Amino acid sequence: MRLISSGTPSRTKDYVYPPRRLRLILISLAGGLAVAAALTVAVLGGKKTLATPGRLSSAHAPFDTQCAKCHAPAVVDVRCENCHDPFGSNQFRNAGHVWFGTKDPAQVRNAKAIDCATCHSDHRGRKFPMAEVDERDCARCHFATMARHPEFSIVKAGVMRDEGIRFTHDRHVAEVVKAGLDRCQFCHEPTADRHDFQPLSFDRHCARCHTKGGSVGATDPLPRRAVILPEDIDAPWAQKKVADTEKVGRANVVVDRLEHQDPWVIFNLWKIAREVDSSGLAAKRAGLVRKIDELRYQLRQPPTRGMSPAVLRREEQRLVGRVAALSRGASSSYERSRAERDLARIRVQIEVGPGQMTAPPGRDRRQIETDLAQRMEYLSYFDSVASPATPVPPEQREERFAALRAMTAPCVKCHLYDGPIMQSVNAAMPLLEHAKFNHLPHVQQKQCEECHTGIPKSKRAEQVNLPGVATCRECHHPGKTRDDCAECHFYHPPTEPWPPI
Amino acid sequence: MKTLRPKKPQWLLVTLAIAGAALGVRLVVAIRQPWHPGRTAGLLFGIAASVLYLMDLLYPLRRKLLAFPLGNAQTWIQLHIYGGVLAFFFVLVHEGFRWPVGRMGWLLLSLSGWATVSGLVGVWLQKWVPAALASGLKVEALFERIPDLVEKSLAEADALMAGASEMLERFYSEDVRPALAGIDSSWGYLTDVRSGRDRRLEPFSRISRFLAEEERPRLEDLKAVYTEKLELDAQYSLQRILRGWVAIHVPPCLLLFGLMLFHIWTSLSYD
Repeated sequence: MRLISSGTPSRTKDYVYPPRRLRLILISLAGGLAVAAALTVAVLGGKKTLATPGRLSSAHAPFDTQCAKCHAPAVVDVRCENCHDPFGSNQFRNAGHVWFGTKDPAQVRNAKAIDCATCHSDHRGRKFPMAEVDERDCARCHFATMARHPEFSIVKAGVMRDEGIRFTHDRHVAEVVKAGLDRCQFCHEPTADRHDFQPLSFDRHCARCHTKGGSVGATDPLPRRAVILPEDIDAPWAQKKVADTEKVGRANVVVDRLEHQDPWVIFNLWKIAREVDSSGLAAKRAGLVRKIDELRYQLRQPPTRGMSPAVLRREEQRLVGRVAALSRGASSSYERSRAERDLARIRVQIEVGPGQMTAPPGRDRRQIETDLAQRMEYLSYFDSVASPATPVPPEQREERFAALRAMTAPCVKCHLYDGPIMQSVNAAMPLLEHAKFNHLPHVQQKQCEECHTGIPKSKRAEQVNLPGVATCRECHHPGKTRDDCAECHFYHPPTEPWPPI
Repeated sequence: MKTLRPKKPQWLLVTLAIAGAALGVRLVVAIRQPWHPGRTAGLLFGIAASVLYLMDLLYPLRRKLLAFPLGNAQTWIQLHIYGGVLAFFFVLVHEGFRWPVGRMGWLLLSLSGWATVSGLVGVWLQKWVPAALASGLKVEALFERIPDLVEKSLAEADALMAGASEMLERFYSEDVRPALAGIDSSWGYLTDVRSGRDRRLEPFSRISRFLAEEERPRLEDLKAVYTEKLELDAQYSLQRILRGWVAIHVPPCLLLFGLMLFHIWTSLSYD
């Protein structure tokens, strides 16, 4: 019998040990974790570029290593707006978009909040066009493709808004052709960039046929008691018209050689308006003042630019108090959220400093300034020529209206009046309020009347004469011409929403 | 081709089905909205890829960390292989099938690709090398023993050549002994386990004609020892590749794991 010695038997030298793979795994695991830890420490230590998933777009390149400019730690809209909408106008919020599209405060209040970064993602490289958005984001609320684009509402309606003027395209086109002038472009002159057309001007486009020696004609005989004659007005423009005044019988006069926008007619129109419809005139003036306010609002400076940190801190304290008060009170959550947003804006301002406020103006600043100057001049004119007048008793109203009709006899050939107030002329203003349309590439390929087919027979200024969306689809479809949303539409309102949301 | 055939076709089918479903989800989502790794769908694929990579990472630790094995070894290896492939596919979906922009993105994608490709190369090696060794060679040897066996071959050849003729002795010392002296590994065995054998044995045929009749059995024995040594070289080369493959697969995978943790942290920290 073979005896086995006690204790652990010794192993032969030929014994083969299995390879120790776990050591390689553990060393590799330790290496991987060490790399992760080193990267984390480096990022926390300031090497922010290590954490970036990609370089920022060229416009944001200065913030490559300043993550906190946008991340807090998530990207929040107030940080985008700190530079892009320093006015806090909500122009770039979805609420601004809804207001732009609907002008319905109820819908605006219910508008879903959409973060800027949802559509404008960065970290996609220097050349990434982050201003361009994918139209699939539009389709979440709107239709998906151009094929499903609904008919333009104005085409569906068949008529435009009130144009405030009598105008027949058929007769005018025929007359222009007869005179050997350029069929459409005699009136519709392209702008310098040829994208659009210049506003129509009486002096440039109408006066050629509608004036004789610079005059649009004479008034009908009108009761002299109802108006203030030029000889009774102490103004240079009035004195020039004294010679054109002709007495007709004992009680009536005729004023000859009236000009377009004749100051004597406007003077007396506003006098009669004050006598018979003072509220209407006040409303017209208020509308003008409102428009001027709107334009001034668009030109204002960012509210917090140049504010010292101390002032910003005081503003923060004020808003903290307001938010607390609104939270306690019965005010709407909408007001509270607005106050909270204002507070967030101030806090961002305090945190990131003044920086560059680069709000892109919706319209060219010079264009707004020109528009404002024109309206200011008009308001000044409105007030300076205002004649003293008080409302007349009811028995004299008919006489005033008779004077009004006689006085505006040359005007009503084209203009429309609401009582003594002339309607504003909206002709040749852009029809598509929510879209941009560049005429240049279109007129290079087609004649005007190929799209505006109704023009030769159009008898009213209100007729749309606008091709429907089907005409657009002839060229704008996949495989031919661009048919994405951004080709014609813009998400953010081109001007700041007014009134501010 | 046999080596490419999956051992468990149902795993392949399930993987293909999941990949197809993922692609379908990607396409359906892409119809509705632009793809972004940070949006819900993109994020879900990123999370799924991370979970799969984590499961893959547990594979080598299954017997060390778990008190009792969950499933058998074959299930674990199948999960490791197909989970890894699926994880890489999910990474591609997460990224939206676009090239990354930043350095970290490139690093993550490259390492994911490397981990998957090196893993699949490993699968092929594990299937092909043992089969090739078994079918193409007569000698079987443990990798760790091969240096000893080569030494023994040399000693055996030296003993065999004791008392040989001058011509045979010269042939042995000049042409054969240097080749027997050490292991001569080569990548060529990957394509053919008998790579270069005929060319190397050809001198034996040549010298045989000049030897006396009584010397020829000795030459045949020497040839047998030499052939065995060539097979040991092939064994050593292929087994070394089989073992060395782990070194190109495991460290990058664990580096990927580390970077994945960093990526998750930065994504959560800078949303």
